[in-house]
Amino acid sequence: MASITMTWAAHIRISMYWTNKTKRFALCCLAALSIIFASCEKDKPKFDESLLPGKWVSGTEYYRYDATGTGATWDTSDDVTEEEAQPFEWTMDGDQLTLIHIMEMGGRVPKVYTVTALSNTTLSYRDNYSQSFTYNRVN
Amino acid sequence: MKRGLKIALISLVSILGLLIIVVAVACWLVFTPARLTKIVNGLSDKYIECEAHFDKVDLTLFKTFPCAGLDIHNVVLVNPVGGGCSDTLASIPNLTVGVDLMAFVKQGSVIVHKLRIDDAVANVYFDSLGVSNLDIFKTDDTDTTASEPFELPEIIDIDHIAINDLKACYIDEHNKIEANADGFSVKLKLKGDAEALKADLGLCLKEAALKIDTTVLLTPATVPQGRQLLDIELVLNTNADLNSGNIEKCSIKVGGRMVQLDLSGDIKLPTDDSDMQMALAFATNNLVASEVIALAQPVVDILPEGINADAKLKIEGRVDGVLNDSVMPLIDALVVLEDGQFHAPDLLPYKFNNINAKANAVIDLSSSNPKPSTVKLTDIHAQTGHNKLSLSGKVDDLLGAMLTDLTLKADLQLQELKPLLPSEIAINSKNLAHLDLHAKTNLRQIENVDIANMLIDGALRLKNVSVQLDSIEAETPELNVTFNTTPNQKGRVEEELLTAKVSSTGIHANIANANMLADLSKLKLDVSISNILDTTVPFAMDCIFDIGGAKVDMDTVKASLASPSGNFKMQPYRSNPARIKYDIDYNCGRLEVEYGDSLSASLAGLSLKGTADYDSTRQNILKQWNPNLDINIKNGYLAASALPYTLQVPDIRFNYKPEKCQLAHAALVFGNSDIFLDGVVFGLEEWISHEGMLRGDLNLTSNYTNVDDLLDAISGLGTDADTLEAQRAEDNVPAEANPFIVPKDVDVTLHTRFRQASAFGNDVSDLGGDITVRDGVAVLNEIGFMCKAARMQLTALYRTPRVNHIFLGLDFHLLDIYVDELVDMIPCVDTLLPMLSAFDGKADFHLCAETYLNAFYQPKMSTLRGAAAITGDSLVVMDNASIDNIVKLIGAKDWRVKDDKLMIDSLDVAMTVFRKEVEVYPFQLNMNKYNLVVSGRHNLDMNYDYHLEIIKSPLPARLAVDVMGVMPNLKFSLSKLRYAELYKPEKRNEVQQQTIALKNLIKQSLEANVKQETRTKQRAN
Repeated sequence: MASITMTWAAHIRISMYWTNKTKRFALCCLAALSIIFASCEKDKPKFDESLLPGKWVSGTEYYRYDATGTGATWDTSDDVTEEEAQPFEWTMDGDQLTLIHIMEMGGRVPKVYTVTALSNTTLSYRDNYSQSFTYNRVN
Repeated sequence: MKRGLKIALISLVSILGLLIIVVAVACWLVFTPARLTKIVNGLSDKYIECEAHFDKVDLTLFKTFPCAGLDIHNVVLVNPVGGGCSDTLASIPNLTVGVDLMAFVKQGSVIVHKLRIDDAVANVYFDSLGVSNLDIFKTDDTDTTASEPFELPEIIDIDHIAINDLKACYIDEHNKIEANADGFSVKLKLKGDAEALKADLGLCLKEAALKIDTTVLLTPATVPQGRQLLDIELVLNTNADLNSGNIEKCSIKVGGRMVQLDLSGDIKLPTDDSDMQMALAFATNNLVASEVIALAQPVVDILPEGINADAKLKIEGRVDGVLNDSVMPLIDALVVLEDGQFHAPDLLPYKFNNINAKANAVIDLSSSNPKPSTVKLTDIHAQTGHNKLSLSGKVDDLLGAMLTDLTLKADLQLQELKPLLPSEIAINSKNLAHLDLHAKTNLRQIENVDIANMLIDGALRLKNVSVQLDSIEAETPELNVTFNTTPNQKGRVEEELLTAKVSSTGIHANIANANMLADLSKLKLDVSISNILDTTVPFAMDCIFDIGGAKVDMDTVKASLASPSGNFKMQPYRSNPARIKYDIDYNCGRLEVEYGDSLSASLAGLSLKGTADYDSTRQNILKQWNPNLDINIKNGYLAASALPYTLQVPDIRFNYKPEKCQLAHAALVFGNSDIFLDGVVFGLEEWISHEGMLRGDLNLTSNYTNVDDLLDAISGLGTDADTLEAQRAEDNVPAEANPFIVPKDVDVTLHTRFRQASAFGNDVSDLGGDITVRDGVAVLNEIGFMCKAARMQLTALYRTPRVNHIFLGLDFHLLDIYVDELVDMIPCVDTLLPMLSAFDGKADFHLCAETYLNAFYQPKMSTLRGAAAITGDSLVVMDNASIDNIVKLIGAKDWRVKDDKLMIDSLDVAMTVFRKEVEVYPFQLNMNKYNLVVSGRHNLDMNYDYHLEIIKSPLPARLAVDVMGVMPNLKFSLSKLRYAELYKPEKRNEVQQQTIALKNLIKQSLEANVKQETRTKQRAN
């Protein structure tokens, strides 16, 4: 059923709502469908969070996840060393990996990713705009 | 009667003549030479032990008339002893003795009235044991009767005792004396009675030789040939005891008249009861010093070797007083010296001539007379080359402390001083230098060269003098120096030696090897220095100076200084001479410096007053000097080719102490900028020695400041230039990149207040806040300011860990700003939020961002982080084709009214920047009857992926549009609805809740930094 919904979402680009009675009816139908879909929704994939701490690299871009929920990132192509790396905090809930980059001036930059793979050697995730990232463990 | 008298007289004379003839005949018959000779030889055998021979003894009446006399021929005494000159003790060709015949006839007494010895030869010899050939008289060991004491006869009348042309040889081997005399003659007349005697003595010695031990004291060549060695005339009146008398005349001549000494006066010889006393007047003839010196040379070296001196000399005076072992009589002498010459090349490289002197010496060694001996130098003149010297004064206590008070005046030709100066110094002058020197000193001070305790004062006047030392040449038209020592006075410095005052109309110096010209005008110095002659006394000086002006021209450097004056003092600590205390009080007028075309500087006035405590053992220069100074600079200007502006210093007043620098006031103007500073700076010493940070707390106010210029001025301050270059080399930083490097080791807070400022192309006003620079990090802490559009608050962090790795962080709040001004002020905002420029009206803008920059200030995109929020009410949507197209696509065709203006009730945007990605969180646009939600992401390369969705419209259907692609070729397509429930909290799903939570997180983190003061001002406006 979920695949039907997704197919529908992929091919019908226009959604139209009618007002008044038609609207109420449609809402009822949709609510019923939502309950059905929700009850049949696939469980979120879960990954072993303990595999994340460590240093990961993709090309010249490095991420270091510390077990304390903090981390740092740097890119050597920009002449930045690990000592000069910028910090972030990370949390992982199921397949949702949230990185909140901490600016020295006090601002926060959150980034949310969906993990697609996590092993001793590989970390893959994608963002909400379907851009995927893959990193290899350095140590 | 007459006839009878005549007959009587003739008869008497006839009888007397007859009587004489009878006596003569009788004598001739009785005292024949043979008989007399026999008698004399008999007597000699009786009394003389040695061989004696009397060739002939004649009775004579006429030679000794009126006395009877014996004329003895060829008297020879032979007594050979050891190694004498001859066995003959004496050889007397003629010996005549006159005796009183009447006394002999009546009393049997032999009274000698005359004695004459001619052409005698004597040889006296003492061997090494003291045995002499003079021991020729026999002694009677059996005669034990005591000899009667000698008593003068009642009447003494020696008419004539003469020894003529005696030739004598004297050898005393015991005392190692050899003497020869030739032409020795003595004439003596002696008359007197038991109470008084009068002696008339004439003594003459043609030539003589004397040798004591191995020293030849006298030779026949001592005096020029033809001159008598010694000639003495003495007329003496003495008492019967011969212990006192009056020298009526005494003339002693040596070498003819080479040396003549005339004496007269009373003399009393010492007795058991009294000392020797004399009251004598003496005078010499005009002596020629060189002759006297040559005469005395065998006996005493009057002049040490290497000294040549000559003069005409005359001495006269008197000797008066007692002479014993402890007391000398008073000597009062006048010495007149004329036409003298002196040359001692080992002492002075000059020949002195025309020496004329007159000196009066009073030497009184009487213990009872406290009056010290004195020499008065009435007038001494000398000349050497073109130099003239004159000396006058006196020396008291001549044989004791020698209290000297002398005045020397000299006219000196300075060129001729060259032999006294180091070879590398040359002095030239067309004029004579005038020296006037006065000294009061004593023997002890002279022996110890104790100038510090001498009273010396003098003056030196120079005109048109030039001095050259190596490549340094200095000249002055006039230089006057007065000086005086200051013993026993509390001077301006400890252990003060002298003070000197120097004045000059000007000094011009040329230092050739430095290509430097220097001029000093109207120079006045008052200098006091410590005892530089005592090596145990550290050098100290006190100088009061007043100079009309100074100019220096060296290569491309030109400097001039007007009216420098003040006081400079240096005084080492007594307990630790390595530490020196300096006091300075300096003022000057206009100072100008030019360094080619690249730099020029000037000051209207400079004053400097304070102290310094110098200790060379300390490390850096400030610690070594440890200054405490009050400095005031007026109206300074600095123009340099490296500076795009002229730096003006209207006024700087500050006090520097070791612990802090108190800046009372500093005004700086550069370009259009002006800066006024006051406050405190700490730790300058530690900062210079890299031991600590430079700390400061300063107030900075300005009417207008170009921040770019200010940053350029302080870039890299405190960072070692070599370190910067090493960093540039390591990071391969191109030379054209010249980023601002935050000063290292500096911890300074500037409390700023700018009325107007421009920075990075933006003009702001009423800017105020704290700028902190701390060890390579610059923080603009909550700077509040107002531009023409809004109230602003800026906190910025700028850090330069490396030249090619520069951190820039901003916390920027623009409140109540017009959107177009915002876009104009921060163009990148339009990049962050596309089409923001389509809105008009006031909004609040919050931005927090950070990135690292390379040396060209280009962001390192991998380090770019940012979060921004824009909120506004009642915005107008301007005519914009892109927006119109989008809105039409989603069916809101009537969203714009006919006047092309459309009001937006509210705008609430939050966005983030991460590397190249700009993500806009969903926000609503309430426009007319429509309510739109916009979200999406675009890269900084303008590749868009946005979603627009109408969640409220008059149309029956809700539409969503995806906008994708690269500007300006965007592709629009209808999309799935996403945000219908986003603004219905009770209906949000998990993703929507997270989206709202993250959006709130972003906004709260941004707005948390806005100061209450900034909010208040915003509301007030």
